[in-house]
Parts: sequence; structure tokens; C-alpha cells
Amino acid sequence: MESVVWQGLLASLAPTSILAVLIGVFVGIAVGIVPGIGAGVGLSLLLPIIFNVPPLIGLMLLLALWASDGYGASISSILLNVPGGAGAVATCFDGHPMAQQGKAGEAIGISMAASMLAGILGTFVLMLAAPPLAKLAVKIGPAEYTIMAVLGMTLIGGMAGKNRIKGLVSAIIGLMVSFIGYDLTTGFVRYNFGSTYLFDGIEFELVLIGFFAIGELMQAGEEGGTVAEFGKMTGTVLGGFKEALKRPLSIIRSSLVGVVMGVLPGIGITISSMAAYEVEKRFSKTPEKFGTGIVEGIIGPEAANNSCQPAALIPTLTLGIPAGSTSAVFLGALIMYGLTPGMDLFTNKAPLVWAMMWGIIVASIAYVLVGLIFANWFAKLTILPIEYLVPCTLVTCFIGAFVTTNSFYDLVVAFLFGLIGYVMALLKYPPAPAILGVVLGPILEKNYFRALLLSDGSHRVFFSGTLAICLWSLLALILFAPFLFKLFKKRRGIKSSS
Amino acid sequence: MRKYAWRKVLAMVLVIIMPLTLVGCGDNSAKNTENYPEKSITVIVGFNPGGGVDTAVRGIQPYLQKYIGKTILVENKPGNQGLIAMNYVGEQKPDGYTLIATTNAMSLNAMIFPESYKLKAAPEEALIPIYSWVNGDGNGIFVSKESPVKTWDDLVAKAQTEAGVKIAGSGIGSTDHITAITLTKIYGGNWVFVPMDSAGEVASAVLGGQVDAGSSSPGAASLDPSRINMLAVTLKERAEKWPDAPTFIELEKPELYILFVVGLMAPAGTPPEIIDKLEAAMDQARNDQAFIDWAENAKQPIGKEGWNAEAYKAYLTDYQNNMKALIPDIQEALKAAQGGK
Repeated sequence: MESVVWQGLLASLAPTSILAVLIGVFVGIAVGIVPGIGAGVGLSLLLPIIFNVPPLIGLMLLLALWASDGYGASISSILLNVPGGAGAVATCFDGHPMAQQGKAGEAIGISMAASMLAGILGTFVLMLAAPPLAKLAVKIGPAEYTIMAVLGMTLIGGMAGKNRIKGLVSAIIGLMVSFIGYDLTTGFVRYNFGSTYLFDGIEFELVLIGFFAIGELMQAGEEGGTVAEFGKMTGTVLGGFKEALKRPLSIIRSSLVGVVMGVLPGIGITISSMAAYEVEKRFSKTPEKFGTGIVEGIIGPEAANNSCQPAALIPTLTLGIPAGSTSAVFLGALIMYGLTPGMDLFTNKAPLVWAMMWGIIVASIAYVLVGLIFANWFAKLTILPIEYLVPCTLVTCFIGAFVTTNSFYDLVVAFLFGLIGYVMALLKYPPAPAILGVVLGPILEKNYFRALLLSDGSHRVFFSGTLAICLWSLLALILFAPFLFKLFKKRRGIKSSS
Repeated sequence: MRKYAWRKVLAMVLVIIMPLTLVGCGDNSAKNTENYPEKSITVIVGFNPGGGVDTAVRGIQPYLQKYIGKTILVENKPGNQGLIAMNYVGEQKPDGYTLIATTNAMSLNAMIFPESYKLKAAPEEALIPIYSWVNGDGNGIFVSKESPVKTWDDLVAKAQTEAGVKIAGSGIGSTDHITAITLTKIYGGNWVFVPMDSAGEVASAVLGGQVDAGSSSPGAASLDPSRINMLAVTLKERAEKWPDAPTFIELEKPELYILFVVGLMAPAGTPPEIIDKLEAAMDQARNDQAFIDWAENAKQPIGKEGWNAEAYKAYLTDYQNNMKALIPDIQEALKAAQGGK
């Protein structure tokens, strides 16, 4: 056993492996930065190329790309308030305000440290507990997923900002968008306006590009100026690194959120990073400061979306069940190399599996080293006039939209969502709840109807089982704890004064 | 607010977009069938990268390239169960430079979902079969090893009880679903189909005990023989991976002979000379030892031999005729699912 671990480590440090990791890191950061394309697209673009490369090199390349995508995505969130990927939506909340204060370098530093440590922590969980965790994950059924989606809805409150009603409206817009196309339980097509293009619904990435990139950027372009004031650049990348390291509890907490959500097939990085943000806010002594550029507000989502990746590999490697679309592409690569997931992989191909797992750690360190070189240059983008920054980003976004499916309609849809996003931005409707709505809609819908199919139509299924009861209690706690806490405080106040 | 900022933004967008519009503009005409192929050939895949069809195409691509002598570009156009790609390829010039790699279920999908199908020609006539290099997999019904159901007869008996059998499969209208509908028709009883998003989710629901059984390709990576008990397969002969699972032919239900066939097709009207050239190159590629080694290593269900245009067409015709009888049942099952909501 020990020798296998050691062999794997050595294999992951061989010069060819390091070269593969470095290429993966560069591509990963690039696809991460570009809004609308992420690790999933990056992996599918590289899949045909690695066909003729030995498995170890090819898989290291893919894993390094996948690991560094999350870090790259946070850069766009911080600098431009445009999430570079699905997992970086919540990073905008505090990352961008920090950049506006001239501390873009520090924000990037925090993101790097949190991403790296979470990636390493997540990989250790993968190394030590993969088989039992995967077994637990498949025990969770549609009824539990339905309750979890309801739990997810409570995240809207945290990201709605000052105006809760506007946040709710935004979330409802997102939910409505998510219901376009095939009903996954009945095959019935709804809200497609007679168009076959809309049969498969609207790609999540297009909504992200439209609402965030186009909508918000158009407004920024109108205002002009620069993101941060020239000459007011404070805070360094290393400073950010140290700030993050001072908060080990935040990193561990958020990484665990990422691991739990990563293991569950179908939940994914968007929800896990938003949930980690909310968890950090609840644990914070100064929750009112969230949204103004606070360190924990960056650590939360960044740690969660990076620990999600190794966690997503747990069901993929042990059961052959991909946890999301990116792991599905990765599973495709494994199959292409003739590697069958399951126990066989962990026994007969153990050195390769260990090399892959060490590879994620090597990649995590590599993107930090690469990131350190570029981070200060990236941070300087915030003092570039917005009228140059916005068009370049817009065009990149449209290319991103096109690359995903090579469809001209995608550009039209991204543009239309951009217009809606622009109007929403003008009227100060926050776009993040809409993104949450788009992601949660299908999880809620299909699991609700699946659960009813399994129970022959009885709603009792949602209240049976220990896990379901625990989840409902958690929901009650989240909804009512703040009131109870206030009430408790008041009473104590009365007592002590009398 | 600066007044002119907007104009600058627009100007910059135009400046960047202008050169990009030139990309991809070139002379596409190539008329001489004798010199075919004169340029690269694009193969459209109607499914996502990393999926079954995609992997099969990527596997044969280097060898087809070797024998046809020009670059083969693989492009994914997923959506509408492969019909987006079928609509696209059906509208291309029949010059042999745009082909489609697809499964046998696609023309059936065109009949089940007529609103998704946009071509003028009938689904079975819109494309010409060239060659099939993957034809060894089909569908299988399986349970978890922990399940009290141990044999096919146990499952059929369970379907006759009030509780019935909850059977998971990927997607409405998929081969998994059609298999389940056919089961209901042949065996009667209470089979409730629970649609999932992917074969992985089906395996997950079976392993987690949320459903009684699953319907997936026996070759799927998510089906691990140490955890899964395969009860019966829709193949002609027993699968190597599941030596204990009988075929439905053995169970005397030959209607349940359903294969998963991946093949290359060209738009109707493609000159026969071009089809012949592609067929010959595909046959060489399929029988290249390096391809066979890869397929074996990657556990690709390529089957005993490749099918040439004639054999491929014969199977498709047979399959479509079998399935046509089922279409009213399938559409009725879909309607019932929609009405019940």
C-alpha cells in the first residue's frame, strides 16, 4: 500500500508529468478566466488531443486543467465582477468590492491560497475516504434531493443584498428560464415558443454570460472610468495569501461544504460555492460586512469550488458515476484509455490512481506558482479605462458562448439575456439569485417528480427517513434561528437590567 | 457618466469582431467525385463529448484518417436526442464532406418526436448508411447485488404484485425507456419507468436502493459486476462481461432484440462512388489491429465484425420495422406520463 502511494507521488513528479501539469494549468487558467467556458469545455477540447498520449500524462493534463479552472474563474469575478465560471458567481460578492478599493492583488492572493489549500484538503479526502463516501452518496434519493433544493432556495436571502423582493424576483426569473424545454420526467416540451432550438432548454452558461457579462458590463461601460482609482493600489498578492492563512477555520469549513456537495451527483460547484458563502456569513461575527470586500467572503466560495473537484472524482472513480458534466467528460477520458472505474481501478491500476490524486496536489501548487507571476499584472487591469476593458471582455464572452456548442443561436440567446440583464442591472435587480434559480430549478423539479413516481404519488415520501427529517430540521433552523436568537438576546437583556 | 464612452465601446467591439467574421470563409466547392476526398471531412456527433457515440468516433478517427488520406474533423452538435445533428447533416450538400456518426435509435426518435424533426425526407430515407463499427452492445435489465430480486423470473413476478417494479433508465424516449415499454407490453404487470439524466444516475439509483431495477447498456462503465446483478440482456448472444445473464432470445422473447449500433451515415443524394470509398476506408480502419487493440482495452462493444453498407442498412430496416409497431405504445406511454402530471 505504502509503496503504491510513494510510486504514485514519484510518477506525478516525473518531468513529463510536471510538463503536462504546467500545460494543463495554463489552459485551465485561460478557460477559467474566459466567462462562459470552463473546465467542462476545456476538457472536451483536449480529449481528442490526448488520445495519442500515455494515460498518466493525458489524465494529469486534464486534472491540472480542471483544478486550475476554478482559480482562473475567480480572477474575472474579482477584476470585472463577471464570473469566469459557474463556481465563481459568489466570488464576485466580496472579490469585486475589494478590487474597487484598489486591493485586487490582495483579493487574488486570498483566492489563490483558499483554492490551493481546499484543493489539497479535498484530495486528501479523496485519497482516504473515497469508497465509503461514494456508498453514502448513492443512498441519497430524489426525496432528499428535493428538500436539499428547497434548502438551496434559502441562499437567495443571503445574496439578495438590500432589497429582498428584488432578489426574489430575480430568482423567479431564473427558475422560469430553467423550466424552458423538455420536461425531464414526461418528455413534454414547454415554453419553447415553437422553436426546436429551445427543446433542450437554455444552456446555463449563456444565462451567466448574458446576465453577468453583458448586462453588468454594458452598465459599467456606460459609466466609464476605471474599476479602481489610479494611484490607489494597495494590498499585495502575498498580503492576501497571508490574510487567508490567518483564517484556517474558514478554509476548512468551506472546503468541507465543497466536499459534501461535490460528492453528491448533480449538485455541483455553483451551489456549493454559494452555500459556503452563506455558511461563512452565518459563522461570522460581522455578517453585515459581507458584500463590502471581506476576506471570508472570498475564502468561502473559492475554497468550496476547489474542494468540489477532487470530491467529484469520488463517485466517478469508485463507481463510474459522474457527479456532474465535467466529471462525465473525465469519465469519458478514463474509458477511452481503457480504465474501468470501480474497485478494479484501485487495485490493479493503483499506481496510476495515486499518481492522478497526487497530480491534483501538484497542480494546486503549480497554479499558485504560475498565478504569483501573473497576479500583479492581472491586478493592474483594474486601473485600465473601462471603455477598453469592456469591449475586449464582451467579445471574449461571445466567443465563449459560441465555443460551447458551435451554434449561432447561442450567440442570439446570450445577447437576449444580456439585454434582460442590462435592464435588471439598471433597475438594481441582483443577477446572482437568477443564476441560483437556473441551477436549482431542474434539481427541484425532476427530483420532486421522481420521488412522487417512486412513492406512487404520495407526498409522505418527503417526510420519511432520518436524512429527510434532519434536512427539514436544518431548514427550520436556518429560517427561524435568527429570530429565536434575537428573542433570546432580548430576554437576557431584560433579565440583566431588572 | 461620460458621454462618448459608449461610442468607444461599440467601436472597439466592431474592430475586434471584424477580422473574426473572415474566419471560416473559404471556397467550399469540390465537385469531382473521382478525386474525393480533396479536403478534410467533418463528422458530426449528435451527443456530448465523452459519451458512448463520441468515444466510438474518437476511437476510429485516427484510423479512418489513415485510410481515407485526409483529415477527419469530429464536431459535437448535441441536443434533442441527436436530432439537432440529424437535421443539420440532412440539410448539408451531399458531397461526402459532412457526415454523421449516430446510433440506430435516432431515426426512431425522429418518429417519436416528429416536432423535433425538420427534414423533408422521411427519417429512414434522409441519410444513407455507410458502415457500422460498433454493434456489440444493447440494453440490459439489472438490479443491485443487495436486492432480494435474484433472477429475471423474480423481477417479472414482482411486476405482477401491487407494488410493481420501479425501473430507472436515462431519459424519456431513450432506448432504455423503449425497452421498459416493451417489457410492459410483453410481460404485463406494473412497470413504472423513472427517468434519470444519465446511465451513471441510473446505476446510482439502483445501488442506492431507490428503484428496484435499472435499464442501461450492459457495457456502461457505471455497471460494476461486483455490485450489480445483470438479469437479462437484449443482445443476440450473452455478453462477456455478464456470462450469467440470459438473452431475451433465450427467454423466448425475440421482440426484445435491441442493439446499440454506432455507424457512419451521409446525407441522401451522396454519389455512390463516394459512399463506396468511405465504406472501404471504414472497413480497413475497423480491421486495423491497432484499432481492435484499442477497442479491446477500452472495452468498446464493437462486436464481432464491422457491418458494411448493405448489412448496416438491413439491420436498420429490420429495427425500424420492429419499432414502428411500438410507436403508438410509446406515444401513449408518453401521453400518460404527461397527463398524470
